[in-house]
Amino acid sequence: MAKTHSTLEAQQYHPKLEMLKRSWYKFSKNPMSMIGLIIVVLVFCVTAFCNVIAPFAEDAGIITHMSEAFQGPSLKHLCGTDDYGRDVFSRMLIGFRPSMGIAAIVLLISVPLGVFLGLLAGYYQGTLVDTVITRITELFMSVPPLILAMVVCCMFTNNYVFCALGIAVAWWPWYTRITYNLVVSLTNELYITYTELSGIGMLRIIFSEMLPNLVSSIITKMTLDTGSIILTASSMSYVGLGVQPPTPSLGSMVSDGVSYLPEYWWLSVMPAVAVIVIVMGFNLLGDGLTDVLSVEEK
Amino acid sequence: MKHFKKALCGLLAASMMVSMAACGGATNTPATTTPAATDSTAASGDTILRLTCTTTPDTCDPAKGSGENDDNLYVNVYEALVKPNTADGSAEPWLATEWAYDEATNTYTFQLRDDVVFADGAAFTAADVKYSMDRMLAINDGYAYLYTNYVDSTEVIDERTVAFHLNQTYGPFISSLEKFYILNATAMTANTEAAGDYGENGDYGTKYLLNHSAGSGAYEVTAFEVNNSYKLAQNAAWWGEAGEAAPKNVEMMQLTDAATSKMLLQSGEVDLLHGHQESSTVASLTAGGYQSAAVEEYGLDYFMINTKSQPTDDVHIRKAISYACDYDAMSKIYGGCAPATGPIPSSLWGYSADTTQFTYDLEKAKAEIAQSAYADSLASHPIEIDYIQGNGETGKLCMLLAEALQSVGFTVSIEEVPWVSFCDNETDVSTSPNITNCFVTASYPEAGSLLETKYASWTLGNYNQNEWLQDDALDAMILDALSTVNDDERSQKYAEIQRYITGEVVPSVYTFVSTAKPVWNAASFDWCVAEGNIRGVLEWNFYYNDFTMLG
Amino acid sequence: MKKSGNMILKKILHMVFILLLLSLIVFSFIRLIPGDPVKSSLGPLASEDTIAQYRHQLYFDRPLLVQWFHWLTGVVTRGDFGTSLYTHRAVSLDIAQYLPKSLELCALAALLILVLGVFFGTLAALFKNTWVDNLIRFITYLGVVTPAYAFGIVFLLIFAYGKGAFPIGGFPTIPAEFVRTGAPALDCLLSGQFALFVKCMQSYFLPCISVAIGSIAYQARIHRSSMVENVNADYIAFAEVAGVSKGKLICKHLMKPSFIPTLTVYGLQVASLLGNAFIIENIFRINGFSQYALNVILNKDPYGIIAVTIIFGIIFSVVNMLVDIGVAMLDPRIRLRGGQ
Repeated sequence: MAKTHSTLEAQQYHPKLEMLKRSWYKFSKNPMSMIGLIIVVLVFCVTAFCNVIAPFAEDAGIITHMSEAFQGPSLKHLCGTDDYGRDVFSRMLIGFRPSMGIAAIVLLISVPLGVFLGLLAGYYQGTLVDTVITRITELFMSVPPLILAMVVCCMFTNNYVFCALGIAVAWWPWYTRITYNLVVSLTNELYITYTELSGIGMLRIIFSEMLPNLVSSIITKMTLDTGSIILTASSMSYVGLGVQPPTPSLGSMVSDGVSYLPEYWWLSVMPAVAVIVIVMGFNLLGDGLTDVLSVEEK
Repeated sequence: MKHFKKALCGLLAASMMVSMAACGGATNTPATTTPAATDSTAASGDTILRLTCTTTPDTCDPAKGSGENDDNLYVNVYEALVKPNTADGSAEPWLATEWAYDEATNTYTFQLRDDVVFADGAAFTAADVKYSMDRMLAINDGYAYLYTNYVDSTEVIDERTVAFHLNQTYGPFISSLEKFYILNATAMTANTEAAGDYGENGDYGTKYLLNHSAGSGAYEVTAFEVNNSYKLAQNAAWWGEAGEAAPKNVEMMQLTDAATSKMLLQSGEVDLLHGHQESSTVASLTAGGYQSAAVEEYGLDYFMINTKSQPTDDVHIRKAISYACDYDAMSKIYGGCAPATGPIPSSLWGYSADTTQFTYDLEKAKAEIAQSAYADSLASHPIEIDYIQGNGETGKLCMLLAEALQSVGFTVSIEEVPWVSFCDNETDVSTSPNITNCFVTASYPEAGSLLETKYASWTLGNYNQNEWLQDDALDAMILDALSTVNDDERSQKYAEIQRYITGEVVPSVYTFVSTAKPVWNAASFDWCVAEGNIRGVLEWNFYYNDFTMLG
Repeated sequence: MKKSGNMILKKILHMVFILLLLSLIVFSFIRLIPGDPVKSSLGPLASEDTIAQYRHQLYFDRPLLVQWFHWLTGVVTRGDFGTSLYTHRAVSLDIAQYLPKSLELCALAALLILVLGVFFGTLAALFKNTWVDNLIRFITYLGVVTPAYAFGIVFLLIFAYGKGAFPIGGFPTIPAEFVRTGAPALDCLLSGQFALFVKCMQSYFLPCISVAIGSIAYQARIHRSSMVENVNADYIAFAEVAGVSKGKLICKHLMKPSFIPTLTVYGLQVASLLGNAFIIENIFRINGFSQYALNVILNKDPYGIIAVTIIFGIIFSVVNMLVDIGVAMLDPRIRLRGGQ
């Protein structure tokens, strides 16, 4: 009876779940991280439901209200209207979608590719594969990401998928590098050596032991990167690369509005503030995750 | 730690509020200082005129450019045989004193002035004219297309007489010579590099002209930085009469950014902004005490409709588009411009009022659609409208049209295309969109210039022609008109072409007359535009020798 | 010493290899561009003959490797980067015109980043968890998340309402006889024109700050956290117990190791400065290399794009190499590993 009881208890005690709970507790105690989380959740909600939330969702399409152009912020138009008389607030919310879309595409391409190559190079450490991958990584890292992304985007069709591809081309090496470094440092850890000594294949070690260890670092980096990718994408759309008008994007809204400074400041200031808030959200969340996860590792 | 984070949150929220409030507060204090006389005198006491343009030319070579900013430079540093009359743009003597046409040999003979010298002191002779024409035709760029098909050879008869032998009759030949700028042959030969693309002529002096001028104009180039700025100084050796208060120096800088333009004008670092500011910029500056005027050009804004792609290959669809265009609203976007009544602006020689005109009427548009072959399949034939990125407010015009077309049942997509891709697309009919919007202006002040660039088959495949007409009847009419030497007959033929185009083909929508709206500081200078004495040929408004610097 | 010489030589060879590879990749890339860059550069009225002739002249009708090799020999032997289809002249002329100004701007910005970044980072670390730290942390956070163009807007608004306080009309004209390098401030200094030099620096002030501000913030954050980490390190406690004076403790034992992560990040920041400066260059009317890069990319100018990427690559590699050397000098462990 007593024995059964103890097994039962052991079953109820999930170490991973407990750890998650503890991490969450620590995370939720940090107001900055919570702000970050709230912003990020809100951003996701807006991205998903922008057509419903936006008061004038039709303003993202082919439409003009020339007689209502350049109205300042009011209750009807929270962020005023632009040079076409369209509602800046609605367009801003709808502009979240391409930003997030680009971030998603970039991460979907660069994380699997980067991590895979990183693991491969780490697995074949010191061999030709390692050298080749490292050299290719260095090659792509030797040009500033924004320039590389612009070259790629500009050469082909100028739309937001190619914009995302362009950024992805510049982005994956960083994941390869971080994975590679982690694999290398883990290889030197004692428990890996022990597992290796126990006769388990290196490939299995990579997937069962190393990959889980990588996940937390990768997720943290992804969160922080989402912010940077959104910044990069908005810099590109500032010069007209990416989403094409009349569909709004935050960067192009800012650049279109700059010519109306300082009289009609809301045209560029509002979307710029939106970019800042989104990026700040992802950064705060990422920092929060770093705090929690790195402590957990110790 | 906990306190700090709370404090930080509070600070964050507060600062956002403050920054928003600060921005809000800012609008309540608009900058409405009245412009004062700027520091228009340089250290040496020389007057200096500072202007902006959309892009500075690539080179000072008059055989290379054909754009508005190129013309602006050419007219001040070079001179041609003839120049446009200030009233109607017809040709009057400049470097030539008189000319004669011999019908039998199809030859134009020009008598040249004997008092003209170039900026380096060399005398102007018939050899310079021959050199310049040969060079123009050899380089075959810029305005060369005005002459390549017609000028067979140039003959120096004596030092003061030159003859052009044409290989076919060419009605507007004298007018077209307004764009034929004469180079200093001796200076050019001295500065020609042996290695180049032009055989025994080496590089034909193209390298030298990258940042030097070699003309006889009132000004000469003193500094030239591609895509940035150039500087002119009065030509001390000029044969003409320098304006009493004309600027001693002129500085032109490339500046498109509206906010920076506004601030530079307001801070007195610029006297005159180029004429393609957005109407809101013009409005805010004129409200602040700066001057602006509408300078009509010999050109129009066109919606060019592809007559070879579905569904715009149906004339009824094209008529429907013409009815769906809100002409008044479009003109208003550009701050009010004269309406267009056909393919030719009313101020241009050869204009005819006898054309079919369209008004904004969505009911008529629907009626036209009903008559078309696409009446039942509009949804499956989308219309693509393209405009050039950064080309003023043409995007707004396209939006207006797209909105109206959507409301009468079309499926419309709209695309902003970078200039290079736009040009790429226009080289082939299959990649040309259904509709584009562009301004086109005449090269010489005559209807024939516009009709030829817009509709002739031999000028096809570029951004001036999205229509892809390839209409043999029309080609023959244009050719016939251009080769008519008699002015009255030619003018009648132009009228016939305009009637045909607007009545039967309807290849384009004519929105309004292309109008430049320069903004300037009236305290620093006076010019013909300010006096309401606007020249028809745009660049002649920027003939700096006629400017009067104040203060 | 010989070892570190070896290391540098090895790094340079490595850099050259990467750059060669980069140029080859960009070349193959350029060939993939849809549309005909040669044709569109010649304008609508060019005849087929002219286009074919020009294409031949630019080696666009030859196989990729031939074109690449021709370009490479041109670069190596004559410093000739080909002809730009955008400016219609030698790319090397363009580089000579645009690059010096931008380099000067970035060098000044880099100096600003190092000095201010380290200053604020140290300040925050020394006054950890006080209001100084919090204020710096807040400001740097804003600096990191704000896009460069937003700073541009802020500065435009400053101009609009603080008229005349800052020169925005570009640089003072440098008389032709003083122009040596093309970098205005350096030229003034070289020819002893100190009044003009001051004017140049005034013109540089705002663009420099705008270019640098994001990186200053990032640098300050990195430096702070690296110093805080080191404060907690055992050897600092040890040194403290051993009675090392506070000044010496901060300068030698704390500052020096803290510079290692700072320098690594600094390299990346400085190397990307030039690539990110186009918006600021546009606003401040500095007709610089970054703007040129943007234009050649937007205009699909093949030789321009190649030159631009290679030059960015060179700058990136050189800066990173210098940083590696700097780190090696700071960290005895890396230094000892030397040429490996």
